[in-house]
Amino acid sequence: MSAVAESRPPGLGAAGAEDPSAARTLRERLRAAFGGPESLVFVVLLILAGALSLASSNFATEFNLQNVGRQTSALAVLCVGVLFVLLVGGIDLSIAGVIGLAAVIAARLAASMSPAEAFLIAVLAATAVGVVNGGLVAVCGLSPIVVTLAMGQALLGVALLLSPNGPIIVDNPGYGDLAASKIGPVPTLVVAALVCLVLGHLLLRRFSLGRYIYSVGGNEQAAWLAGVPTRPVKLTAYAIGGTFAGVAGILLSSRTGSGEATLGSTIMLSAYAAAFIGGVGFGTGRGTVVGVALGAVVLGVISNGIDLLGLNGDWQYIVSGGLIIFAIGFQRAAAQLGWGRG
Amino acid sequence: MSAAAPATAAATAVEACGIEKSFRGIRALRGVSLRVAKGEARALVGANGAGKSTLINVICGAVQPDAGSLQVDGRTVAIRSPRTAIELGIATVHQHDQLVPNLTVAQNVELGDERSARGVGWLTRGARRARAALELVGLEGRADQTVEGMSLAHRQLVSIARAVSRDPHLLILDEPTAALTPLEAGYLMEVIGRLRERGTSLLYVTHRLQELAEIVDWITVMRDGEVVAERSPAVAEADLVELIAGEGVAVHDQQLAAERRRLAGVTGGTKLLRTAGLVDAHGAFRDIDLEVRTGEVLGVAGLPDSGASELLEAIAGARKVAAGTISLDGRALRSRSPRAAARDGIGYLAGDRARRGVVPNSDVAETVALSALPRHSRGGFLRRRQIAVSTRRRMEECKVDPAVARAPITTLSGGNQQKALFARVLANDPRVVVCEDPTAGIDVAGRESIYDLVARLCESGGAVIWAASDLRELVTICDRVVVLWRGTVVAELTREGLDESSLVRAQFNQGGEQK
Repeated sequence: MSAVAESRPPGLGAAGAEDPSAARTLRERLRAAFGGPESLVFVVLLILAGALSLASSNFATEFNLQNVGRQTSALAVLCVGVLFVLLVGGIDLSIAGVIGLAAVIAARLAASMSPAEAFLIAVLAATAVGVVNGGLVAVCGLSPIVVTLAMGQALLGVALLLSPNGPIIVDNPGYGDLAASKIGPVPTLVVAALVCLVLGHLLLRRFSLGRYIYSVGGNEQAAWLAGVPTRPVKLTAYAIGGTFAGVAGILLSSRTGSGEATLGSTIMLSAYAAAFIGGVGFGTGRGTVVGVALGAVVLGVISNGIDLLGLNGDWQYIVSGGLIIFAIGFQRAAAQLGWGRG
Repeated sequence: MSAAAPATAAATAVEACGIEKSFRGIRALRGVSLRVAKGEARALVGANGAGKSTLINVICGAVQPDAGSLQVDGRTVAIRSPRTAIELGIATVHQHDQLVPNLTVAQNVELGDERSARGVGWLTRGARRARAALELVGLEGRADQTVEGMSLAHRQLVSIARAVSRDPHLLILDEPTAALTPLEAGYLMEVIGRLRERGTSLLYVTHRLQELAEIVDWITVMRDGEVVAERSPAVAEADLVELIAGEGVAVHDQQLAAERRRLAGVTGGTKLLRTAGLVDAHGAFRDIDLEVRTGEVLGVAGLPDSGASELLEAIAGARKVAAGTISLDGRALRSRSPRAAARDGIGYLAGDRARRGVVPNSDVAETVALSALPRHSRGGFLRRRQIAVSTRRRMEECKVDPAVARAPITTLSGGNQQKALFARVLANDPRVVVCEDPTAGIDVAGRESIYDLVARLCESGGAVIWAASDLRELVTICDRVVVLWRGTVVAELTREGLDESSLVRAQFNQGGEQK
């Protein structure tokens, strides 16, 4: 199921799908291989990259690509967390608060301990927030939108109280190393993001948790009747969402070298944008790590392209907004044409 | 009024002629004709699956017929939507009400009545009409109370008031008493009597035959998608039950008969599953004592409000019980979830495949593997080869073509989806499989495979608890059938006494072996 081609069953009607001897036409084969939302995003990405290479000689340079990678890595990590929560039919609006909290905690603790320890504690705090969110939603049955919105609000307050003098500037020289260093030609941030992506992918594909998450998102009642422990699964999804938000928070904090309570305010919506561009369904239990990662890279490239072309940076929001509508419109059209999971 | 024969010249309120309707190749209505004269009250009775609901849905515009015509007030009409039906003066009170809980009773009654939205005086006019309707059902004192939290009986009355406030030519009541206590039902009968005095034409669907004599002029009996009889309410109840069940069934189901012969060879095993004093936490059933032996197919029958399907849920761990025990092989189970029940050896194939069975975003292989993931993983890590081998074996066992393993489950036909779900249940090697209407909406070939699976499970020392609304099926494949009526077991029919008409009688709590 990992490769796009594999996850695309032939888009045949009921009769055809049950009769393997029915000849598959070329069109059906193409659909099977390229009908998924992930491949659409990939094509969009190729077109964007191609166009930018032509429009600006600065795009396809090692320096610029490293820059895109650094800018996108935190977003990509955040997207993976968002994916888990969306897959169980939920939503987590507290991630902006979680990012701020993780950044402030890490920045404060870095004054008295090694950055690695500070990062670890910050991420654990983020996980704890996710567990609380998950508990309120899955066990107490509260509405995810309301619970996580309230949680985000409260966390913003906590983060502001923890940084009474405004953003905490970290003077521990090791703090920014995570963002500044490279492994070979690849920025460490990108490596960290890749590790998170692979981890998310493995959790969804190689662990029973992943199957359970998809089944809860597809039909929670049927999943429960089939023996899926739906409540623990939902709780875990929120915990994972919180954890990845915490990781995104420390990546951002390391880049800025500071701990700021409002660090997550704009990136949260970008993460949802990337998820929807990457083919995640809202309340359908559909979506992959590959898709959201591609969605994040597309947003990163767009923002980079707007910089390179010398446009006002605020255009990126309009473009990404339009892209979301295009993406879900395409998914709907594909579904109506009977492209199976399109 | 009862003197008027159905075919005489009394003006017609609504007439359906030769209505045909098939769902996925299964004929639900086979040329049904039905006429309700003006001012007449007609009952529509029949077993589950006889086609009553489909016919009602055709008349109220929710379902489009494949063939046949409808006349309202002497004019041939096409009822393309429920809205058209309402405009034509056909008001329907469905079994499950469509009230808006946070609006008041009066607001609910007025809701969507556009005749009151014209002109300046619309508010008073709508309110006056609503008030009159509420007086008719005796709810005028509660006009400003919100519907939320009202009893089912009161909600039913609000729905009726809403329908009546539109001055319909025909009022359709779909099993209005199904969920009511006898006292509440009695009051509803009174209300219906008042409606009759007003001259409203009624089409009344019910399972409670005792109610009919007082309130209707004619009774139409449906069976297997056809109208089989029209009787005056003076008909003896026993005769009516015979008509509902049908006689001389033999022709149609050689397949089932063969199945029964096969199953006959494997019964008489040891005690396997037992329930003692089982009481539902929400009152759907009480004091249920059952025993299932190895190799046995135990049928559970009952009308929709009998508690039969709730009992199955409870055995499968999907419903809380307030008291009583379930034991397997003499060991008491404490299954608080379907997951725990599956671990204990009870598999569950829930009814309503689309809503409670299929996980639509998965493919066939994922569907089959879902329930057995705990036994195919270590520390949560999936053993994918083991899963692939096991899934393939289960699919072959259940005659699901391995070529569709990677196809989305939703692209399969109903029969193949059901086989895949059966494979999912079997993947845990259950001792007892609890299944609810497993052959609903499935073609002949699909049924055959499901029966095969049941037979094989019984041969290998398992047992099956089978609830179905198809009585013929129950009669044929079950060794024994217990019948529930309003939450208790009222009859237990063994092979010798097991036939459709005794089942129907028992379902309506008419004689049979009283427990």
